Amino acid sequence: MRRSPTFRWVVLGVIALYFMVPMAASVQFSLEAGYDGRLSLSAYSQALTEPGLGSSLLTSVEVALGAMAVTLALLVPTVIFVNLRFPRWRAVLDAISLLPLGVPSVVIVLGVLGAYRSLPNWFTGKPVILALVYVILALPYSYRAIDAGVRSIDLRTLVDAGRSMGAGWGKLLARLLLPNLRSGILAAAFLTVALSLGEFAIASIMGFNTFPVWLVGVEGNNPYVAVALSIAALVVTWFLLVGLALAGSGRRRRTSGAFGGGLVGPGASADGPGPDGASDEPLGAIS
Amino acid sequence: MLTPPFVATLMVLFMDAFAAYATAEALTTGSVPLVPIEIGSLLAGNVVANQANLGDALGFGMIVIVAAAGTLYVFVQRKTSRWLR
Repeated sequence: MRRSPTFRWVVLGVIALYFMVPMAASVQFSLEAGYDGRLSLSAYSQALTEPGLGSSLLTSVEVALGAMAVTLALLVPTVIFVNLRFPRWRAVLDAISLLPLGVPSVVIVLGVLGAYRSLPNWFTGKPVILALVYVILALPYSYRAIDAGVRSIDLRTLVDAGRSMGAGWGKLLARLLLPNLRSGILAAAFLTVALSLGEFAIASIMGFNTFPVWLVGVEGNNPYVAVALSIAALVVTWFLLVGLALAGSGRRRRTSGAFGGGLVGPGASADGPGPDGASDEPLGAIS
Repeated sequence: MLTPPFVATLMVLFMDAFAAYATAEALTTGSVPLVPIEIGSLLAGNVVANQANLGDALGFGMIVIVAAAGTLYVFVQRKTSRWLR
């Protein structure tokens, strides 16, 4: 069943238009804020002085970093432990991690508010609770990223080697497993941060003034500024993610020479050349 | 032949669209009475007294519908993978 290349390009073109036209229209709209028909950047300069920008952005960043920290602290040890000791429970974890995709986010808020109704206000009234909800909301993505990372390394061999060299669990985790799991952990962190920065429904319902919530509020008063800000946010987020991805892969290349071989002990492969090379090294050191 | 994957896609799209809150809220500022928007406004405090349970009830209704769609999705997916084997 061969299709002509023309057909392929037409499909690709239509899909590209579908995504690009609204964005191009937004860019054009944001440049027309001079009100006299000429293009200008005044919406962008107005955006910087819009009241509430700093505080809402700060809330969003705090919540995103909090959600990331909790996600990693919770998931990395759990996934390692389950893969090591209870491989049968992987299916259960897998199913649980998919729940937030099925349950509508509005219903999640209902549940959270119901469950935390009895807790004191200093807890439920702070964005802390928002970060905790985002941990759950990002679970389908963060769990998959970390699980894929853990399964791509020879976990049992690494752990056995480290243990036989006399490393405790803390040292094992910090110096042997975390460096080998870096790409998976980075991916989980990106996904959690990106989701937390862009989430609107839950923050809006729970009454927190995060960046997206504030942005929708601005749209009512000054649509030019709101559109300019959302384009700026899109560009900044995109650069941030690309930069972080480059930083993640760049560090590996730079340090691989320094720790390549020679060192003996569980730390030998820390920052090593990656999953495959690293899983060989401790064994080599033993024999 | 392609019916099961088509139905599976339909179910995923349905669940996603059914649960969408942010797009609807930002686009229509809550003027279209969708179930998620209704729950949201109930939760946000635009409530006549003693209606807190109404939100819970609507939420449970959503879960029932999504669960039905999800069950159909899993069932149909299984059928497809059996064919592929």
